[in-house]
Parts: sequence; structure tokens; C-alpha cells
Amino acid sequence: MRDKFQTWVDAVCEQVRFWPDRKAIARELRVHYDDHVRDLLRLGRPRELAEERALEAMGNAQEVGWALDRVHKPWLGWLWEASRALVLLLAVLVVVTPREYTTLSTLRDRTRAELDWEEPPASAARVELEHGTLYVLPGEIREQNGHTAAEVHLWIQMRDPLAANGGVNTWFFSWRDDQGDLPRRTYDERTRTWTEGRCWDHGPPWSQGWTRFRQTMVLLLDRPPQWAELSYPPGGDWTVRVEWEAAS
Amino acid sequence: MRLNRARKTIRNLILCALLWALVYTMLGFPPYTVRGMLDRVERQYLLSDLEPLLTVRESQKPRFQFFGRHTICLLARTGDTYVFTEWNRHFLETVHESRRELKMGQGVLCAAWKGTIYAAGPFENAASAVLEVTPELWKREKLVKSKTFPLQGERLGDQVFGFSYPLGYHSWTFEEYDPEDLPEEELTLYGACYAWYHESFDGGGSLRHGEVPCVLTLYDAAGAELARYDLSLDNYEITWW
Repeated sequence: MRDKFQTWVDAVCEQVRFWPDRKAIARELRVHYDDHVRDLLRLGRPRELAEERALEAMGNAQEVGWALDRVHKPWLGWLWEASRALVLLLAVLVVVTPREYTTLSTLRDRTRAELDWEEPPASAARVELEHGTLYVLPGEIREQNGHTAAEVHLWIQMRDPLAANGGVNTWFFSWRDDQGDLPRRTYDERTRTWTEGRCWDHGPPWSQGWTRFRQTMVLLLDRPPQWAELSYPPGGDWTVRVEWEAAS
Repeated sequence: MRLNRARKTIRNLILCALLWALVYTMLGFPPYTVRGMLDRVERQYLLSDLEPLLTVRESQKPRFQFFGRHTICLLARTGDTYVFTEWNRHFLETVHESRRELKMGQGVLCAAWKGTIYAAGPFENAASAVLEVTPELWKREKLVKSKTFPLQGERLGDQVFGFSYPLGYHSWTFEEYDPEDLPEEELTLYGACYAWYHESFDGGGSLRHGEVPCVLTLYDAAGAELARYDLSLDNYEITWW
């Protein structure tokens, strides 16, 4: 009778298209069958009869198989298996992924800078960019190593955080004032000197959030400027002007 | 609570999304396509509508490493601004090459990478191009020596010419020769850009950055000169590979 039950189970499982479940189905059917046989034996039926009745009670193998196939949908079964494998793979990736690109302190600092953002004053000049908005405001004018240092404050607000990890790069900005073009301050390795005289450089404060960036630029000049113009990209798709007199 | 298979699958997929977000964040939000890389450059450098002009890929499979390393160099333009950028990809990591800053130029741009100098600009009408690269040796603020290397261009795209030059290790040492007296056969573009920008000091030496002047000349089909551009390269671009 064991063989007859096995044949019945095989016939049921053949109908189930999602084959990874067949073993579990066979195991569960056997539990039901064994329970039924045990109940009949307890009622005093001979073993052979008990097994025969229990098998009859299990029903038509094909119909049971079809019903089980409807429950054990192959697409859901495979999707489930794939999701399990993917969870495992990603868990391994979390462990092995190098952390140097985004550390916890980076996440904390970016979030803090994002939250500490203060809206630029209404008097700031504004440029609408493809991916964000740039605000420019003239800052303090002071003496620095025999030069006049004129600060310009920048607020850059991006529409999405895609740039966050690399930050916003303003090295290619070009500046000019009422006396002419200002080159970027660079270090000449041949003469081992920094650009002297009229030039511009980055200065503090500097903060990088996820979508909000603050930066100060310092124009090193011979005398206090009346105005300065920032144009970008190098040839100047757009130009924005800051005026110190107007600001004061 | 016992979940059925459908709910377990949904739970797993949500977990996958969270784990992927964690991995992606840890990797620094890497871009995986050329468009993605250009999108990143656009946002980082406050540009817009970068249009790829040339993509150069190189793959290496280091021994004892399961995944290969891929380098992707992109030449792109927006309006008359041209940019050259280099990215490195290894498995899920894609990072901007930290040793090579993005190069940006107005009107025309030239950048060297592993034995080729790429020049991009409005070259649609040019039939041929020649790039003259002139490394210079300066000593105590005086130009001591210079040599011009004319390189014939090969069209790589509507707006791109490529100029190949031989790379190679030099067989001499700075103990053998003063850079000034380097034998003629060692004076390749690579050799000059290495030797003439090298600074020796007690116990070693280093290669300083220096601008190498270049002149790009475009010719039409009849051989008449169409345009001439004064450009420059960093000697590191030529010697680093």
C-alpha cells in the first residue's frame, strides 16, 4: 500500500508546475495520509483496510494536483525564490561594500548642512540653472596681505541630490570686475609661487548638504570694487553681477 | 503572524529596495551609464544638456580579481563648452578618476589620455588636423630648450580628432643624464614631458605640473588652413598612463 500511496503522490505532484514545492507537498500529503491511517487503526480497522480507506479519502490524484497547482503559482513561486536570493545577495553586498565613499560622518555632515541652510537674503542676485538655482550676494571688503579682498557669498540649491557626493564644483567660474578679468588663483610649480595680484579664490564658509551648498569666493583686487561679474561656463552662458555700493 | 507567499515576496522586495539603497549610498551614488555619468557632471559642474561626443573604454582584468576594472573617458559638449572626464568602474563602484580633474574648455578643448591627445571643437568642415605639441625645459625662469612634436590627426567623430603618440618607459636615469643633455633618440614627446618637468632633489625627485603649449591647425580637403588654435595640456596628461 505504501507504493500505491507513493504512486498517488507522484501523480499529484506531476500536476504542480512549480517543482521546488513538490517535496514539501509530498511531505504534507503523507502527514495527512498517515494521520488518517492512524485514526482508522485506532478504530480497530486492519492495517491493509485502513490504508486503502485513507488513500480513497485523499481523493482523485489529478484533481488534487490541479487544485494544488492553482495555489502554488509558478510565477509567484519563482518571484519568491528570486526575492530570497536577492535579499541574501544584497545582505552580503552590505557587508563587503567599501565604506570609504559615503561614511556615517559624511551622511551626518551633509544632513546637518542641509538642515542648517538659511535662505539667501532677498537682495541676492539669482540665476536659474538647468538643475538648480544660484544666489550671489556681495560680502565684506577687507585688507588682506596688501590686497583688497572682496567676498562674494554663493548659495546653490539643486533640485535633486544626484550631485551630493561629488559636491558642487565652482573651479571653472570666471570673474571680472570694473578693472577687467580675474584669473583663478593657482600655484605655479615652476616658479613655486601663487598667483599674485588680481585673481579670485575660494574662501570660507563652505558647507555641502544634499541639495544645498554654500560657498564664499574671495576676489583679490588692488582696490575696493564697485561691481563684479560672474559668468559661466567659461565663455558665459549666463552672467550675474554683484554691486557693492548697492549692497551697502 | 504567519505570512503567505505573496506577502513574503512583497516583504522581501521591500527589504531588497532598502538594502540596495543602503549599498548605493555606501558606494556614493555611482552612475552606471554614460548618460548617468554626464548627468552627474552636469549637476556637479552646474552645466546643462551635455551631449556625448566620444566615449573611450578600456578594460583590464587584474590577476586574482574576480571583476574587471573599466575606465570610461567621455568627451562631451554643451553649447560651445567642451568637457573631458574620466570614470573608473569596478563591479558596483563607479568613481570619477580622482587623479584627473575634469577638463573644461571654451570653443576648443584638448586632453590627453593613454597615448592619444583628443581635440574637440567645431571641426565639421575640417578634412585633416595637425597638432604641434611643444614641451619646454625651463631653468631659473629661463627657457632652455623646447622641441615641437607635430602629430597627424585622425578623425574620431564629427567634432573630434585624435592624435596618437608613443608611450613608453624611458631607459635612462637622471644619474646618467641631465635632462638638458638627453640624447635625441630619448626625446620623444613622452620622454621630453617626463624629463623636462622632472625636479631632482636629495634622495629623489618628482614630476611637477607644467603647461605644455599645443597648436592645433585644421585644414580643408585642398590642404588650405582653416583655423588655428592655441591650446595647452598638462604634462601629467601626456606622461600618466
